Amino acid sequence: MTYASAKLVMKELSRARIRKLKMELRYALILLKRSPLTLAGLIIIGTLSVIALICTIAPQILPYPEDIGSATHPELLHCPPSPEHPFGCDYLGRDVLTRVIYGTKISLYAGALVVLLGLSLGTLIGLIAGYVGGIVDDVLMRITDAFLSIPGLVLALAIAATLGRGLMNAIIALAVTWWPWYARLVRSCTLAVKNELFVLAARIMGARSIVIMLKHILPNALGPAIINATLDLGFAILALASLGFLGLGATPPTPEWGAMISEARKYLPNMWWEATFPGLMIFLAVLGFNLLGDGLRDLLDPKFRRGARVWRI
Amino acid sequence: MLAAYILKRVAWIFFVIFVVVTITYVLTMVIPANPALLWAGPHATKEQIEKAAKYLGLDKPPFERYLMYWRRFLTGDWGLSIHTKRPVLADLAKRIPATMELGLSAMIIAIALGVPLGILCGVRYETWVDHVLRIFSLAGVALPTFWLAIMMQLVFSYWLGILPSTGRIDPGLAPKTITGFYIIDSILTNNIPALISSLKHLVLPALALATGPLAIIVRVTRAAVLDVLSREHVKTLLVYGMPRRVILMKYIAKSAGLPVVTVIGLEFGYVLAGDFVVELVFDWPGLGRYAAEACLTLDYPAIMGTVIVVAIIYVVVNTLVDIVYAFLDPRIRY
Repeated sequence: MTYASAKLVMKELSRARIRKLKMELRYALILLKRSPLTLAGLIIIGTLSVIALICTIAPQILPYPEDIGSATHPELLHCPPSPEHPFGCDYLGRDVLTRVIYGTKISLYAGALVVLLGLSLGTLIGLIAGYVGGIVDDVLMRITDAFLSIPGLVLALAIAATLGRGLMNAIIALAVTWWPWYARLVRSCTLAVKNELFVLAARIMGARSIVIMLKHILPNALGPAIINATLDLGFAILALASLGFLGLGATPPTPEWGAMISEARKYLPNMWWEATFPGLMIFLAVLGFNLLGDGLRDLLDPKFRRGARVWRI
Repeated sequence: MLAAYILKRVAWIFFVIFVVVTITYVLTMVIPANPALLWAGPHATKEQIEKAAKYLGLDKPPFERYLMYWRRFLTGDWGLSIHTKRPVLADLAKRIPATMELGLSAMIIAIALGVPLGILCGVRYETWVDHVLRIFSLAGVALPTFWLAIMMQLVFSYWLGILPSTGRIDPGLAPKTITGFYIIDSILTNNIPALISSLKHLVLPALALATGPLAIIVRVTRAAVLDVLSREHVKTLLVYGMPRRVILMKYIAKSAGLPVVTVIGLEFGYVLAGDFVVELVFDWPGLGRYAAEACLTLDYPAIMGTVIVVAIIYVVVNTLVDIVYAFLDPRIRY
């Protein structure tokens, strides 16, 4: 084949790929239209992501950017919702709306970090267990099962208390309790891939175990775990907020939603706005991820694609 | 076969307890720079820290320390709570009945409401009933338990004033302790005012705690009913002219019940975790408030003690659920 014709083939191939991508996109759009809940989830998460991005790049366009930290406005202490401060002000006179918006960035980033760390740890353990097999597999899987037999949030409490207060410590504590599900998933995928011909070929050619594991098995075993991890983001945000509420997460003046509610609890029932709005944001974020996750799970599960036949009784 | 299965499950309980105690050992002794500082609390004096160091055996080699930790765990010497100044194990034992009363009430509410609603959802698949209930169950999982508890307290006790906001019973009404469950004790002693008062205090925390598990049970039941409804034998029954009510009660409710049993164990973990924050909000004198207050004041021995107790309760309940399930479904045993 000449160089020119090879180029032509490549071009045609890439065109075909784009066509395929377009078709898949159109298919996804049709499915989205059929499931308004998934669409709602997508819109919520899209909006929150944009907010988080804006808070990262240009926090100064928030209504009262100085209120993110520990600014004090004695004249505004506990002022109820008004046109200037739609969500009211807190016990230092800070604008609750600003803090709630900025909290989006903190919760989204922290949740993503929890899931990412948990996924890394789980992948490492699952990969080793699945690939090495034998007694290593047995030991690692028994430990994984033991972790699954302990309520995760409770264990996270103990770890967070040991490491001390702080957002990063809460993230680490949750990640340490978050990995077992991913470890099991990656292990089962590793077992499925391990005996494929291409792995055998690599081994015959003398590739080292570590190379086989990282280069040939990992890319094929990671997919389902990544999807699951993304869908777990909502629960990670919820767990972080719970730790924050118990005083083990972000420390004041960080505007983390759970910590904000914890501080506002002292001023109930009169200053209800200080606790209500951060909670609504947690609810919205978790709901968004769950709606999106449910929809995606249905899309990816071929059983649901056809639409189950249900006998009407 | 069943005996072997039960034996295996009970052995698993001991293994999990071993892992939990080892984890808490690592957390207490290995990770912190100075374990005595953590154990003595944030405002400890020099003597208190020295005493903690001696208690923890910091002058001994690690393995000996680990054995010492185990000896302490088995003999019930779990250290002194910094906050209450009493032995942790005694504190915990005193608080277990209150937590069990709340937790079991929440589980009963979740199951008693969740299963019928889930069946309704599945039977009325893709109708407005199904859509509304599904949205509610999606929302129920996403609601932060601690925030829901605060909001319920705000609306029902502070604004509407129809239910008490905190506590377990009105002062001076507590019934004579027999089981530690106020509801059962007041029935046993025929104490009607105590019964009414404790029920009134129980409603809000139990509902707040039940919401998450309720939402999950509705979803699981719905999926199970849909699974049964898509099988051919339901069609056969329909074609034979079996009354719909009989199909529903006899064939669907029964097979949809099994998956629900499996999630009850999981639900229990949900309830235990939610219990921490709900008890803190409603000032409920149980394990959860103890642990939550310990977290807020960094009362380290109390936190570790509660974690061990909660983990043990959780694994025991889950094992019981597994054994019950093995009775119901013989396939599990083999």
